[in-house]
Amino acid sequence: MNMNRLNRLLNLIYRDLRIQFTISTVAWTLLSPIAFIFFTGMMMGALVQSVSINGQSVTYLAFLIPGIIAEQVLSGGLMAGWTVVADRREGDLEQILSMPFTRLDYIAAMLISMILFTLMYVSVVVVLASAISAINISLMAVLMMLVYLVAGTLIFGSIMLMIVTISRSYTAINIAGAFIASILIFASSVYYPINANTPVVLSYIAYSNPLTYIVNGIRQAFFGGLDPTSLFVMGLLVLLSFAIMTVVTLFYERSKTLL
Amino acid sequence: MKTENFIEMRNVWFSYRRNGEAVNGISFNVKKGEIFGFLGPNGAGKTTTIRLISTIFKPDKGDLNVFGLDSTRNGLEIRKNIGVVLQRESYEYNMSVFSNMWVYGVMRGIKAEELKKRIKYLLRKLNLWNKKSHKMSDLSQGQRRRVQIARELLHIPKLLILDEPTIGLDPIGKRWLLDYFKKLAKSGTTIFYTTHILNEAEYLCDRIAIINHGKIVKIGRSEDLKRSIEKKKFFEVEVNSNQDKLVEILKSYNIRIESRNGKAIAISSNNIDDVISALNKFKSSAHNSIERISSRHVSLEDMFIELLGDEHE
Repeated sequence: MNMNRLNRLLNLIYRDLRIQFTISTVAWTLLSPIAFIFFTGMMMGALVQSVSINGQSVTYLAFLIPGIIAEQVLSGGLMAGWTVVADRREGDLEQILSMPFTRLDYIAAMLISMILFTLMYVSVVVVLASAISAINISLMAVLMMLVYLVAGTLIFGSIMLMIVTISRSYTAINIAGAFIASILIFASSVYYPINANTPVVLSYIAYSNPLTYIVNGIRQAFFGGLDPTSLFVMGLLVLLSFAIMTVVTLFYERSKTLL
Repeated sequence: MKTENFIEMRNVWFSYRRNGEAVNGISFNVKKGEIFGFLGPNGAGKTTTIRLISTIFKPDKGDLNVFGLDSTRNGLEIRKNIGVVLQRESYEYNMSVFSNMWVYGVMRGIKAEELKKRIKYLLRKLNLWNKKSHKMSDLSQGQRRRVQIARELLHIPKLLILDEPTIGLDPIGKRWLLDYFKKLAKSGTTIFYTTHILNEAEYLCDRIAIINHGKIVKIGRSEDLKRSIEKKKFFEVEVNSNQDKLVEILKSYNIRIESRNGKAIAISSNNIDDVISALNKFKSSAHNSIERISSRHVSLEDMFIELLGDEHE
């Protein structure tokens, strides 16, 4: 990457963060995982005493923490799409494209900003979860989680960027985003393990869902560590994320109007 | 930048996939240092032309050079030297005027010290310095528009593109802004100005192009364009009653009715004798009286209506 492109990216990331990291955004980002861990963790924890991961029996809260992190990875990706919609509606996208930035600069900066945003949220979850002794986190687990976080945001962000370019209706995009999010979350192992008791059709859907691999990968990072299988899955997710991002980038670069 | 023409369009075409042709083979030049007016009714292709010049869109066909550079291959280089004031204001409601300017300055890659000076200079020039800490949402539309203009001048562009910048402004705000653009042009900034408000173009622009249905229908100096229809005479006739009868008589003499506003009827004709005859006929029929007749100068608006009026109907 040449210096010019790097500067352009940094300048756009500055804009994204400056606009999105308001006091209220940061406050909600801090409050949201606290509420999530407290309500979902405690309520479900009262119903489900323990869950087995890699033969280890862990509390439901410990099981849920990687799910919360993965769900935020998905939300970060979706937010990238909604930010593009907002930029288009407010005229910001047209204004940015009339400045010395390429379309690739714009979407790359958007995705990187969302990765940083997700990182902030995830950091709060991890610190909180460690503080209440729900999980013990190692450096390797942090590194593995970072890979999943980046790959996941790129995958879901790219999918959403594609949807918002194809669809022009704000309402349609909102409904599509909510629909896709609920399918991805509930047809995955975010809230419950996918095992022999899972209906066959649902397990097929769950195993075709990248979110399942991200949740399982983060759980493996917390409760198992790096092994050849998780390394392979991680590699596949990284490849998938770059493949999808390349398709979206080409789509954006070749789109005639975009605005 | 040695080129004399800052914008050169040669037979440029562009179409939207869903809505068909927007620009149909337009050609014109904008010279360095001039204020070039781009006039047309709504939907004529003005905004699309701006998007082409600012290299957001690439032409389907034809050649478009900005600063002598091919727009399809040198978009980044071109965009470094232009400022584009779009119709949509695109600002952050919850940020202060200064912060808005600051974010845009950083995006443009202006160093902090220089940026502070530029923001201060521009906000003072545009009478906004006392509003620097105000949130954008607390400003009036005219003030927000001035922030938008200041923002597009941060990097000292060689070409300023303005897409109907006076929409929604009061007459004093409009005139202030037009005078500011004149000063800006005197200091060496080339201005590409789109509007559908004709007296603005007449007041501000050195040369004017009129676009309709994506085609340039007339181009030239404002005075030359007016002269092209100057043989036509324009009058305003005021009558207390029987306006419909008067209109009927005028039409029978092939006199064009430009507008009707209460008692007043604006008319135009190439033949002054026809006008006199028609008015005499009106007076003699049923003892009608004419309250007032006045002639007026040809305005750019007359020419615009002359060129596009019938088509618009």
